[in-house]
Order: sequence, then C-alpha cells, then structure tokens
Amino acid sequence: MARCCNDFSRTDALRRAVAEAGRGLPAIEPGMPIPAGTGLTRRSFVARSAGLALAVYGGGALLPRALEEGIAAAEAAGPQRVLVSVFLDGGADSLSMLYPSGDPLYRKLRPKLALPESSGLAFAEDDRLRWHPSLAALAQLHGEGKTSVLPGVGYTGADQSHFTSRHYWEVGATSERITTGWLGRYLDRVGSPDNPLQGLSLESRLQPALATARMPVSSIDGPDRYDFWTRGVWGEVERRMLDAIGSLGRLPTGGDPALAQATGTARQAARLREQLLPFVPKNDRTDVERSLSFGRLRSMVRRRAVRNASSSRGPASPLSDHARYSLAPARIA
Amino acid sequence: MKEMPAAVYKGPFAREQAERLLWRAGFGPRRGEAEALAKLGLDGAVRKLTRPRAERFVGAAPHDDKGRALAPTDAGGHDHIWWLDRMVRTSRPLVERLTLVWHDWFATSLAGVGSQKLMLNQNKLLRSRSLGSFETMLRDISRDPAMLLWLSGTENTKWSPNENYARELMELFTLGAGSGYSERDVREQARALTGFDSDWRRGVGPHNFRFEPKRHDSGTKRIFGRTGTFNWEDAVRLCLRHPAHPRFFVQKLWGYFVPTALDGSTRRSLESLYRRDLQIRPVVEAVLRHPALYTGPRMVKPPVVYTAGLLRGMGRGIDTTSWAWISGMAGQRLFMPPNVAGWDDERWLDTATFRGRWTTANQAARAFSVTDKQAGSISGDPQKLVAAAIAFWGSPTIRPHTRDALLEFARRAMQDANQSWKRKSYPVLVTNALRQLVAVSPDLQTS
Repeated sequence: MARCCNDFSRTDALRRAVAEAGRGLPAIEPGMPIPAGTGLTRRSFVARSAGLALAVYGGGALLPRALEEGIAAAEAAGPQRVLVSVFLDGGADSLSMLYPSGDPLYRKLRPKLALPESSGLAFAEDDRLRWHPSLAALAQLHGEGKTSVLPGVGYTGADQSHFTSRHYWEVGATSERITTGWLGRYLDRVGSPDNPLQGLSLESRLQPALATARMPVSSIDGPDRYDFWTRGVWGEVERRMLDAIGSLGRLPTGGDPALAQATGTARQAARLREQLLPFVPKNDRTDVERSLSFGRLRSMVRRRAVRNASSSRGPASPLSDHARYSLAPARIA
Repeated sequence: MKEMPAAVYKGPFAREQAERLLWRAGFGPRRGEAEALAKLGLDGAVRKLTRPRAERFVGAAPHDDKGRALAPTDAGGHDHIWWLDRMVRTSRPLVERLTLVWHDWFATSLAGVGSQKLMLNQNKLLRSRSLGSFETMLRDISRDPAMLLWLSGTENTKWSPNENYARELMELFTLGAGSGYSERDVREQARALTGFDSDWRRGVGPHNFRFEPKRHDSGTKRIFGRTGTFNWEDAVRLCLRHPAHPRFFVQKLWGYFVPTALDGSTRRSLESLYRRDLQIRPVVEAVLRHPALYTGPRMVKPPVVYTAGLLRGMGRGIDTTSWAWISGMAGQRLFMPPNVAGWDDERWLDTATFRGRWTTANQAARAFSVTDKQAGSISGDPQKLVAAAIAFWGSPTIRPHTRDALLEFARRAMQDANQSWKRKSYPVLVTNALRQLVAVSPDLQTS
C-alpha cells in the first residue's frame, strides 16, 4: 500500500525517507508505511511523564507487545489517564484489511486483487468480513477486546479530495472551516491556560489534530533536546535571557492575530522549557536550573500536566477510500 | 461591466511602510534599503520591485563551511542553501519571493522526484515565469520533468490513466476543491493528460522527458461539459478558461501577501485585471499597492524568509551548509514541501519551530558574538546595549513595548553585576543575549 501511496504521490516524502531509514513498527501488512523509529528517550519520557508506557515509537518489534505493555502500564497507572493518539499517515485499503469475503461484487470488481474466500481470520463483529491474513496480530487483539475497528468510515458527497478528507479526519468534523483538531477542541474545554505539555506532539511539528483555539499545546522532537543554547551567554545572564522569552510572550498584541501567535508561541516555549528541565542532561543546564530536581516534573505529572500525546508516522496519503484504523485500549481513554 | 480599479494605499509611505513592503514582497531590507525605497513613494517602490533591472548579486559568493563552492545539483542540502543565497543577495527580491510562492503553489518535493538537478531546473522555470503569463507558467509546469515525476505524469497512459496531476491541476493549481468540476472531469482530464514519457538509465536516472503520441488517449473526452479529443494543452487551457479560475487565482495569490480575507470589490477588480491576458504582474502590483497591505494586520514570516531577512539585515552571506537542517527545524526545508498542497501558512509557529527560529538566530549571530576581549568597547548602559543589539540586525522597527521588555532584561542582568569581573563580563553576555532576544521577538517573527 505504501507503493500505492507513492503512485498517488501523496507522500509526505520527507517523513517517508526518515521512516525508511529508521527502525519502526514491523509491517502489519506488506508495504505498510513504516513509522519513523524513535529512541528510548522518547519512550521513557512518555513513561515517566505520563505514568504510562505505550511505546509505539521505539525500534524493534513493538506491536503487539508494546501495546500489551502500554495496556498493562495504563492498568497500573491509577487515576492518571493519558490519551495516546497514533496517527499513521498513509493509505490503507479497507477492502483488503477487512475484506468482504463472500460478497460476489468484491470478486467481480477485484478479479486479481481479491483475497481467497477463507484466508484470514473471521471478523467477530460482522461475519461478512474477514481479516487480511497478515493482520492476525490485530485480529487477536480485537478478539481480546483490546482494539476497536471502525471499517468503512466515510462521509456523504465525498469530492475525493485527499486534502479535504484528511482535514475532516484531523478535525473530526465534515467542515472545511474548522481549524482546530478533535484533540485540540477537547483541550480547549478541559485544558489549562499555562500548560503546553497537556497536549504533546512527539515530533518536529504540531499534529493538526492537536491544534487548539485557546489552550497551549506543544510539539517537541525529544524532551531532552528542548534547549535554547546561545553562544556567548551563560550563568545568571543566561537565566535572565531565558526568563525574557516568557516576557516576550506576554507583550501586548493590540489584537493582531500574527503578533498573538508569535507571543503565544514564545510564552508556550518558555513554559515548555521549564516543564522539560528535568529531562535536560545536568551538564546542559544553567547553574540555577541544576538546582531543580526531577521531582518537580513528577509533581507536575501528578497535577495532570500531560493530558494527551499525539504523533503521526509514515507517508501522508489520505486517500478517502482507504481505511484508517485506530488502536484504542480501554484504559487509554 | 467594467470593474472599478482596486483601492490604492494613500497614507504616508515612509520607512515603516517600505520595510513592510520589503518583507512581504521580498526577504526584508538590507541596511538602508527601506529608507531608500521610501524615498521613491508607493508607486515607485512597487515598480522597482515588479519591474526590476537585470539581476545582480550583492556580497560574496556562497560557500560551504570549508570555503568550497556549492554543488547544488549534487550535494545534499546545497540545493537549499544555493536558493537561500539568492534570497539573501539578489537585487530582485520580488522575483525571488514569487519563485518561492510558485514553489509553494506547484509544491513539488525532492523526496518524490529524487533529483536535485530536476528540482533546480523547475526552480529556474518558476523564476523565469514568476511575473509573466500564468498560462505560460502552467503549460510549462505541466510538462516539467520534476512535476511529471512528482504527480505521476509519466505513468499516466491511455492504458492506465493516473489521475494525480489532473486532480491537482484543478484542485490546487487553478480552480480549488468543489469549484465547478466533477469526478468525471477529473477522470477525463487524466485521459487528456496522457502521453508523457521518459527514459531511465542507471547513473543518469530519468531523462529524455517527452510527449509520446502512442501513449496518449486520443479518444473523445467530455470536460466541463465540452466534448472533444482533448490533449494536455487543452486540459491546461480548459482550466484557465473555467469561470472559477480567475477568482481562485487572485484569492490564492492575495493570501501570500495579505493575511486578511479578500473583499468582494477588490476581488472583482483583481479578477478583471487578471482576465485580460492572465498576466501575473498587474495583479501583484495591485496587491502591493492595496491599503490592506499597509494598514492591515501583520503576517508571520515563513521560516526561510525570516532566515534570509536576518542575513540581509546583518549583511552576512552564505558561509555554512547548516542552514539546510536549521531551516528544517524551523519548518521549511526548500525543495521539500510537506505535500503537494505546499506549506501551511497558518501554522508556521509552534513550540518546536520556535526553537528552530531560536537556533536560526543563534546561527546567524554566533560568528559575530562578542567576547571578553571586546569588553572594553561595550557600554554597560542598558539603553545603549538595547540600541546596539537592534542595530546589529540592521535596525528593524521594534515596537515600544518590545523595546521596554528588552530594556528590562538588560537592566536586571546588569543589576546582577555586583562583582568586578561581572561588571566587565556582563555587558558582553548581555550583548549576545540581547541580539538573540531581538531576533526571536514577535516583532521580527512577523511583518
């Protein structure tokens, strides 16, 4: 299917190059977009900050074991709940993932592509469908009640625009005008005005699904790399300079949206830097920061600093006729 | 009915307005450039940008970190800094800025094309057509090798039509989604666009791009309600003659220069200008003269515009390849737009790209950071420290509130200097810190 995406040239090609260079998830089915591998740092960050270890980013064989670990960790995590959203950019042919094995139209329209009638496991919720043989792992998790599947999701009057469809998916509504994501709108309702870590994209750009209208959210490459090193600045002056980022973030904007965006980002960056200090190697901290302890983040987490984390992986191929799938363990709200 | 011309800005055209114009229609002013442009008045300034003399480059030729010449068609990242150099040194900033606009409009990515040479050829095409006929540009881009690879043009045959280019030709390049075309039109346009081919050879890659009649579907097609044996040139022409095209074109182009919505009256005026002969220059000139550009809200600078502007303001050329990865951190690696829809101008700033911009500013200033050796020549007066830091970047306009915040930082930092070594060193440290803070301030992130 990744080949299919290439053929449609909808790839988020830069990411794809990274993904293929890294070690990500084993293929659930041949050609599946491979998520960019990320290291233990990111995994342990999620674990430490959220009391939860759904480590879908690391190298090596992660599914379904990582999911099991995540579920187990979530079970043990007590009342602190975190929503982890894994958005696998790319197309997946819904009529292959869960195929209508007995439907004569399926065989008529796919004389070459159609899977043999009895290959793959039966789909427990609908006996007209069967799992692709390569999706046995997902089928097993589904049988154990640990995954949900929403086959055939679409919308009426589709214009077949990939970008429109992707937008709908990210905002969770069939409106082209909505600029906030479905996770972002949740945070706008329940979030905190001074905690950008409550919505976290673990990548170099913010996931649209996490875009908010009012509450701060964040995106970071790695929690231990969120530093603001400046040549020729250190000690007390460096601390003052870093504090001044927050000051720039509080400047009046006169109602100008771009200025508001710029000040808001400075404010969130300053706050996020403070929140991530426990993950910065001690030698990289300023003198003052070294005096801070890891316990500070722990207490932040206990105060529900992190509400949800989001990431996407693989090439972008939002084909509207391709299935998406989500993994939604019960305890990961 | 003859449309009224678009409104023209009638207020003062001083340094501040010229500075904004240079940021929106270029990559910011070099030292003294805004003042010089202001003296020309609005019309003169706009004409200087839209009708430039022959290009010349100001400053030293670009090189990598070891002083070697760039290899933009071969070395990774050199394509990015080769173009960044043009943005920094060109005497025709609007042409270069429009090349960036067209790169975003016809967003093609190296990662899908796989050849820096083909990407640079496309870049040359976009530059050469940047202020001319959109019809010529669209015809040329429709058979451009990089585009043919990116949107599967050479895979589109009469035996197996590929809808990629047909869909984007209408959705992203000429009409807009939901603007009077159907799925059948997409399929039929794809048939009309069949026939391009190329060869491939190890060590050379794709080459010999051409139209191959035997691969073309010469049958009858029905597109936008019209019937004919349309080919790729007809496909382009039909889109440009579609009633929805002028509106799409002027709205999209306007959005690159002005953040507020295009009002109905201005839109009709711009459409009327454009309809005459599908020329880009008159529309751009009308947009650059419009009051909304000078009196309306600010825009967030795209990352490469921000970077090129810092370098232009401080008078630094390209002397490192680091800009390629730093620009990626800030969210805009040239020749690698995120997808065929281009970059999202609404989302340049977030906590990750803010750090990218911080790294950009640090990279720009670090070669000039002051040390204790220069301590004797640096005043400890906070006012002077702030003024010097702003002057370091070419004296951009800084709002009073921002200046106050910078001054407050400098005052507090200097108050910490309670020992003799601190009194000597802190003006140095504060100088470096202030340069950084000025560069990342909301004033410099926007224009």
